[in-house]
Amino acid sequence: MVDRVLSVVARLRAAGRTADRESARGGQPGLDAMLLVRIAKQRALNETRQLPVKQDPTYFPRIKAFARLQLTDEELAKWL
Amino acid sequence: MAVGTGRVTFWFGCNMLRHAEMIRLSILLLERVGYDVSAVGGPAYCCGTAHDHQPRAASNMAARTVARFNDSAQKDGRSVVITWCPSCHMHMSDIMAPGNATSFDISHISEILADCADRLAPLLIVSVKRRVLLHRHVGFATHAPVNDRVIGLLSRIPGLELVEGPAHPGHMCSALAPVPGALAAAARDTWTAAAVAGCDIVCTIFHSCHRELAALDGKDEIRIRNWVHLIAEAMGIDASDAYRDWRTGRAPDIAAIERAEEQRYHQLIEPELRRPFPSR
Repeated sequence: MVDRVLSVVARLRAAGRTADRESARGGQPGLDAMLLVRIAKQRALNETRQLPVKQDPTYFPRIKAFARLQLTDEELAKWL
Repeated sequence: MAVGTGRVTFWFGCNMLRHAEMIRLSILLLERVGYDVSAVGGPAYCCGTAHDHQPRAASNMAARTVARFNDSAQKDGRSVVITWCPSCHMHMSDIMAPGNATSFDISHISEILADCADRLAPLLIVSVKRRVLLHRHVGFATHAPVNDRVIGLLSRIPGLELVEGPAHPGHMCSALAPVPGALAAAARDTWTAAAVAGCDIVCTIFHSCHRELAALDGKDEIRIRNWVHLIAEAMGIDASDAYRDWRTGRAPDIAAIERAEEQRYHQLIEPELRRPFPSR
């Protein structure tokens, strides 16, 4: 997992996408902090188990129930 | 990224299915500025970001969604995917696209509409006499200057006075929810700033913030609107907000509850709509 994430970061770096974009810190060059947090979270979830996994089996059923509450038949056919 | 008038895919994500009017208004705005829009979303177009704890499943979902966008680009000429959800956008940019061959570009809807502001402005014919505080997050600025773009669009609305609210961490309110006290603090700061500035509207940019702050609608006589609602109002278009109204006590009509299946409504929907906003 770590290797895979690092390879993604390396590719992003090569593409100039980790450092050179307008950032929340005023456009200064640097690594994308959001992405680094994301990588750390994935590692903590799947490797070191420092974060507890939150299983939510109602995630998609809840979204679908909300959709059925308000979408037309045509929209439901397209999007659900 | 600027794109010309043409055929586009509007990828609204999955949680936006709670906000049908916001999806429809977004499509309408894109169409009014000249785009031919194919809107997609829901579980079939999952980005996988909600499944970080299941990397293999998330990876498969991401690959499937990218393949669908590639297909649409190659067979239907829709080589630009316009995003709404910052999670989907960042996941596509940081994980999905680097990990899968793509034949499309992505851009956020606020960037697209801002690029077309001169086409949009003549359509804003109704004065919206509101003093509006914009609820902002800074976390998506690494990918799209969404705060600036929405400010630019709202500033075109006749009659509307805009006040910039405090800038919160994370890309939207859902990022704050796991941190004890953070969501309540962000809401409190937003509401206090709106009240102090004499605003009658708090304007959200993203659906997650809208979903959370809708619970506070009416407090201190301040209403919640999303930026697409305000633009639609200025165009003289109905901009109702069923989710906000349900969140503040109105019940969906019986036919809608039956369509959603009554048992599922009580099990899945009501607890969310009746959940009190975290006080701390």
